[in-house]
Amino acid sequence: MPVTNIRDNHHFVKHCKNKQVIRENGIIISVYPEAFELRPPSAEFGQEKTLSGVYYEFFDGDAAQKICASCHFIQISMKPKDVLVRMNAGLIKEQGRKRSIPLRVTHEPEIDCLAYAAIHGMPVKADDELCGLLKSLAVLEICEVSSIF
Amino acid sequence: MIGAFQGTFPASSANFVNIGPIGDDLITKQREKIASLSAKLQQQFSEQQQILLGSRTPQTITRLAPQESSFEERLFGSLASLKIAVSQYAMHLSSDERHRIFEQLDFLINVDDWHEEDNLPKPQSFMDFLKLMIYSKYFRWTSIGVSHEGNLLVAWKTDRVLLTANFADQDTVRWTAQISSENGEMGHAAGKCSLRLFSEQALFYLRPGDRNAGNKY
Repeated sequence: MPVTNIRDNHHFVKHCKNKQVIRENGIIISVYPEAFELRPPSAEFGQEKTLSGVYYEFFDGDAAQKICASCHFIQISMKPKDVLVRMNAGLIKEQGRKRSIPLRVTHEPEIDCLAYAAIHGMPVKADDELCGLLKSLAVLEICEVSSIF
Repeated sequence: MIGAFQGTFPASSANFVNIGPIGDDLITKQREKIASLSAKLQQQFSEQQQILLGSRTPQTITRLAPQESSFEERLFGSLASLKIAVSQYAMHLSSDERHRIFEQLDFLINVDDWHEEDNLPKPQSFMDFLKLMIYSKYFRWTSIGVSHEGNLLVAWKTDRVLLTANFADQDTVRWTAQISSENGEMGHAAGKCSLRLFSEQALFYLRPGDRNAGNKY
């Protein structure tokens, strides 16, 4: 299926585990920059090469329905305190440019996940400044999984 | 994990040694859990595997075979090891602070919320965080997390700054800072340094102009 670049005013939704969420007195205020690092190789998986997520605008409906659909399409077992972060594609690329790291945000429909999307170009050796910029400036919304259903 | 307690733990009445500083912090349920896990481990080691050798006179040799612990046991062991680490620094941490750390650890590391395939927090990384608090005398952390590798992540938030730290291996801290000005302008910084230097760097952001004053939290 064809791979297309996601438009700058559209969005990429990524799953983050509870262990990478910053809460102040129980209220979610941000995620750790490490949430945007590529996962290192493990016994079960190889080195992650792209950040995976789903294409928000692929789904119809209002904002709540789109986030709910995103939750269903992300193929990871989610825990109630995990979160989904909605990021703007243009802002993602802009943070990459600040660090001279070209990032691409693409919609890559797969047979079992037609909304699959990815961020390409993240360095394998984590760039803390880039991850910090993504966390601060590209994330528009954070939704706890338990609040979505 | 169990060796650190150096005690016997019958299921009904648990005895604890060397956990004095955190003894009061462990709730009854945790004590019973430690006792039952210990009893289980003791049983595992006593049920020695027997191997019959095909010699003229049959002999039996025995060996201890490490058994894979369940997800729940590994999680509990990790949590207990972190809490025991707190006990090593108990004299520098108030009871309130210890309870706040324990609550955050319980919130983070539990069967309902932890992904089984993830690396558990590294005790050394956690101890580096405790050392940092003691070096800097700044106890107002906001949130605790864990990286892919099992490094401890900590965030501090003030009115103008969101500081995050990744307590990486070998006494190294990777940090990021998000600073907001009064007129809404935002700046960012990131760095990597030793634990000792980070204790100064952190105060630069968290307590500007007051870097040497003690913390009264």
